[in-house]
Amino acid sequence: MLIYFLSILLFLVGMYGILTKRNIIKTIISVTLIEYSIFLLFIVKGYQKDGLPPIITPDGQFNIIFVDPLVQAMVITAIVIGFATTLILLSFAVRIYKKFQTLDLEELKTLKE
Amino acid sequence: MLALLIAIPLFSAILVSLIGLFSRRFFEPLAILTSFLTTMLSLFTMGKFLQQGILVYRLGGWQDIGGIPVAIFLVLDGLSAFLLPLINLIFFCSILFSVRYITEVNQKPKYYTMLLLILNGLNGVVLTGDIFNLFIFLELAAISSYSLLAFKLGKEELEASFKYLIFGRIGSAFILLGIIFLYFSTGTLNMADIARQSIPPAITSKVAVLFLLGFGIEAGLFPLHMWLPDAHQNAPAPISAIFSGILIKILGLYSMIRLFYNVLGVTDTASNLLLIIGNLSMFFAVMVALYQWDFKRLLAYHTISQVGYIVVGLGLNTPLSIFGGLFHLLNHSLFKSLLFLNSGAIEHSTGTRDLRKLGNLRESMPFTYLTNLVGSFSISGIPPFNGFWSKLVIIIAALQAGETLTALNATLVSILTLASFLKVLKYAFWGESGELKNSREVFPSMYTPMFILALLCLLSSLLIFDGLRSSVMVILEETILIGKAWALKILP
Repeated sequence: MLIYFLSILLFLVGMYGILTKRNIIKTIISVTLIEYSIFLLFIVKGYQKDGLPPIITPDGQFNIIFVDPLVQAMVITAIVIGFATTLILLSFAVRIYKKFQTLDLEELKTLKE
Repeated sequence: MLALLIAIPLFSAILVSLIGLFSRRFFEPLAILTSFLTTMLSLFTMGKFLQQGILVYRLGGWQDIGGIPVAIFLVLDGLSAFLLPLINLIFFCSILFSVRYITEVNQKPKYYTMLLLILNGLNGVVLTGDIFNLFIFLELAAISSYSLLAFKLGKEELEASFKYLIFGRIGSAFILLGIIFLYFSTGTLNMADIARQSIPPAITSKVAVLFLLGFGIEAGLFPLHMWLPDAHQNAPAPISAIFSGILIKILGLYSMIRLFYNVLGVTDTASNLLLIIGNLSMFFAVMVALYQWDFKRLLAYHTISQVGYIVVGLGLNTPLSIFGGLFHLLNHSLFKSLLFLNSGAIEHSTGTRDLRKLGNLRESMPFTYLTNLVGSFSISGIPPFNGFWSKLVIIIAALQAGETLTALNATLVSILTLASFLKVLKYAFWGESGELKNSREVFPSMYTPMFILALLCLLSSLLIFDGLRSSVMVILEETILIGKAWALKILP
């Protein structure tokens, strides 16, 4: 139960960061936190206490209590996607710093409202 | 055959980037050839659907075990068959347009690689029958589009792309959360398998809200639209055409239709919510569009407004209104891509998008003028162009459903759209030439795609005739309106 609260807390911290922080790097960290809170929820819900690998042996036996492998496969895929987007975000941060000489989102505002 | 539509763009994207390392000559024809090939293949696929009905392909040949699906499904049903040719055709037009429009020669291989990856992602989203696979293809298309948006690496492009990325990532986090809820309440990721199980209403409503938030961000619906004008304004014109014509519709609206109607089952609350969101999108975006001076930003606000029409069509939830909504989706893809290509041609020729600096382009750019006339008349709903018919169908459907206010709103927005496009025509194409002296018509490779799209704007009006309309409506009824019974067609 504690772990659910932890993931909700992580989500809220991320939301707070996006809504209040103006620094680009902090925004990126907040977005990542939101994503990771979801991964954490996912992996925790998929965990089975005392679970074994879901392998059917040649004599037709398989473990009754097993850990769902699909959840872990999905989370690792989602982490890879998250990694790619974080990479793009950070490369944008580098480019933005080179162009604007600042990492403050308020000072960018070249676009119209 | 279904897998080819996903595989061809993927392999060609890898080939283009590899060839681009060594040579500057061959990758461009390869990209054009690929998009042409997938267009033909998608038309062939549509023909196949009309002959044989729903096609299901199990990736890797894994057969179902005891009625439980094991493989990832690729599903071709009425909705996919209707959208595939549209996606591939607009990509073909945009790639053809890009040949002369993109002047940064060194970056071209990367540009085409990203473009083909978006094509791969979109074909995947439309074809897949697996909910997590849909998420992956969605992210694939979205990540490529983030980097394409920042292609010119100017200040505005970087800022717009950063904004889009933050929004898009929060949206995809919501979508992932919704998928998790669905997975843990049903134990499967296959859409048909989820649809045939009974999910508790408490879970359904939570998942519906999460999906509405997530896909609403991707579709640029009213309260979540803030990234859209910046993104569409600053992307290169062919990319804006793809964004506005295809990307937001497939990632946002198609996924929403598929998941709400076929997987979760649409409820009255959900359709009422869609109706309200659609009305607000329609009205507020067109009001903002009225006082825009940047041609592409004006078009971007009209995108939000026209997507509102489609959402209203879906929200009314009668057979006629859903036909109207999807008809408008098709028409909007055609004319909005056309208008964005027009704006690209104007920018290429004159170097500015500001309507106040333009003028009298009618004489110097006759082809752009002609096609822009078709596009403007289509979007503002002037007969016999396609926009008129789809708006008419939506308004009639609203009156039949007793939603008089929606019908009034739709008519009013149509008039305001006309006003805003008369402004474009007056300032850009008529009037005095002002400061611009040496504008000239763009290259044939740029106006050919515009003519193809303008012709299709006229041809798609034919869908309103009785024979075609009733056959299209039968197909839509068999895919969308049957709701969760769709699952029984995929997994008998």
